[in-house]
Amino acid sequence: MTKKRIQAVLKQVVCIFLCLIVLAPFYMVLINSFKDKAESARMSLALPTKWMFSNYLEVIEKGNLVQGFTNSVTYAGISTFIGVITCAMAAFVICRNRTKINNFLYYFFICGLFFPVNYVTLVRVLTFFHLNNTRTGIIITFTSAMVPFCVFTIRNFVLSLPVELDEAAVIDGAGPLNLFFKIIIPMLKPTLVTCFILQFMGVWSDFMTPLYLSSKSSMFPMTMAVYQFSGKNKSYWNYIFADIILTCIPVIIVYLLGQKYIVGGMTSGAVKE
Amino acid sequence: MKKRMMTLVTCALAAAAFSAMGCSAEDKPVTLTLYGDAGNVQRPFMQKLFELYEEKTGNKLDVQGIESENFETVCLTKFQTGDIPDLFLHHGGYSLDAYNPAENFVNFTDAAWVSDIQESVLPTTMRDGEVYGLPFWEASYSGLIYNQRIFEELDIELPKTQDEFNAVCDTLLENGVQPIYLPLKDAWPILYQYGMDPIFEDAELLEKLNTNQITYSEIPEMKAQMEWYKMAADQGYFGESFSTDTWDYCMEVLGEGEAAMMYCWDTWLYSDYDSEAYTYTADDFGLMPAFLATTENGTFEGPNCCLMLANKNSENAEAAIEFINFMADPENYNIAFEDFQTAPVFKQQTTIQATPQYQAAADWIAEVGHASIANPEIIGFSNVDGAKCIQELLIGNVDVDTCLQRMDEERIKAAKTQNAAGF
Repeated sequence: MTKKRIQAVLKQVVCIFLCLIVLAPFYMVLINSFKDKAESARMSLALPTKWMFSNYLEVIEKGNLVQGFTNSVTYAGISTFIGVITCAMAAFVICRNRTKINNFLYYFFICGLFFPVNYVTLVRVLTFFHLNNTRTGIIITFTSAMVPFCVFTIRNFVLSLPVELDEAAVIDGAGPLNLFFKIIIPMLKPTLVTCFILQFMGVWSDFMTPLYLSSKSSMFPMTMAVYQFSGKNKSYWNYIFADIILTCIPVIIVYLLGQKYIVGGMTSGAVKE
Repeated sequence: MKKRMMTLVTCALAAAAFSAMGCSAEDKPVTLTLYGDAGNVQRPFMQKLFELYEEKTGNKLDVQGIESENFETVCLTKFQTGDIPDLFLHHGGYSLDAYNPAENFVNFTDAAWVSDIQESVLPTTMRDGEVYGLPFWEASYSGLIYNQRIFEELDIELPKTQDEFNAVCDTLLENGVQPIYLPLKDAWPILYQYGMDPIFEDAELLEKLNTNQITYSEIPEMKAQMEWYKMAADQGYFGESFSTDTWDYCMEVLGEGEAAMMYCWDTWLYSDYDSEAYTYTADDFGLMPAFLATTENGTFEGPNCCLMLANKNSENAEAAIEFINFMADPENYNIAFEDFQTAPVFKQQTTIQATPQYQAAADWIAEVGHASIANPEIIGFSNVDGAKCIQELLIGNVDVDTCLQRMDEERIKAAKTQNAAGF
């Protein structure tokens, strides 16, 4: 009994130690965001000698964070929503209707996982369609970029759903749209939420795509703001850390709301029944 | 009643339409896009000038600071896709050729303000003999900044030769002070180009290097510089943790006296160094030549200026040219640079103050100073790529010959990408 208790305590201690290692950088970023310029450059874990809450106001004003936040929410929210729903539809059709064309399309989508993006040609294509330097063009680009991963993940989950379910629904009079939205989508919930969260985080963090696809700073996302405070020779670490905290908050909230689905969703396609 | 309302609304719309038609294009404020390195566009004199311009003209500047590491990649991609900004802030030199200045930028050779530029700075504005940009920047002199108080306490005299400098480093080590803080991990602060300026002042040698007739490995002075770096690292001149030292800690290390010297430029002490936060203030530091074994008496590097360039094919080209002329107006640049510590870039610059370090070392600079040549003029030169080879040398992964060979490979690879003749 004593040996078991000791083992249990030791396990807890090791886990707490590992947690502290993971949490230490977050703590450092948070605590240094309240320090002045000189103190924050030392990047210590000590509490600030003077709490500078005004750092956050400076960052919001100088970094134009309100506009950046609006852009980030627009790009991440709209592209992820459209991407996940359309990819779910595509994955369902590819899975249930296994024609030669659909098989080809599936592997064509998967290729997107391997090929890198070429921004020069991408910009030329968008320019041809008069979508360069527009929010629509940026959203379309983000939506397209998430197709390979989402189709791959959702398709593998749909494979595990019995076809009999579809047949039963059709027999009961469900049309294709009712079948998909009322029967299939609820069952895809873990996978869809996983895809949504992972893609949302990816789009939120991506600042290069808007940088290449637009030439107006009014279209830049929140993640670009950090470069207002960082240069090659000098960095205002207190502002950088404050900016990081503000930029991370929305993503953390999204992750916390959907975290219970992520593990389930990632492994949902791993085992076929 | 409804008819009356409709009439009123129609009249109001017509009035608005007429007033809009009455506004000429010239009345409307223009928004000029400006791309630059994130750190460069944040410089205090740049920010002051931007505010002044917006206040006086009513035009707006959409300043887009791009992070340093990706700056060239992002900008070259944007230029290739035709997304060229109205204004472009760039360090000039050979790397500007990749942006095809003759095709993309306004030629300012005949501009009135060209004669107002200091003679030592004018060559930095030119490509193929034409002036493309305004050098609206600080003029700093580079070498080794050193802690004068530590030198006084340890009764160390300023070295005049390479051997004397090595002896100074030994003395500092014996007294428990790290001689030089070298942020090796960040690569770029190695600033090895300082030692190369005296070598390639020889125009013939520079031409041979730029036409692939000779390589770094075949130049004895380059080998001497790399051998000195290796010797210095092994002797402990760069401290014990140089392989993980970063630029971000340099202020603290110098400010608390842990290290006595660092390769740097004089204006950094007043534009970036936080005097209030540390034991040693900016005035406690002096400037001496960089002793890198390429010359007997060390070398100072002359100013490197950022150029403001205007896109000649932009729909706002006229406004962009006017902006540059605005910057070149003595009344405006004197306001922007007021009380800023720098050597003069313009002949009518009267509100600046030369740094105490420059004033104290002026004679020495005149004696052993060299223009900045390596960085802007060597085809395929990259401060970071070459420094990464030196990182490997100092860590011990490669020897001197291999280090030089790798530096040549990086340089030649870049030159080939730029279709340089001879490569």
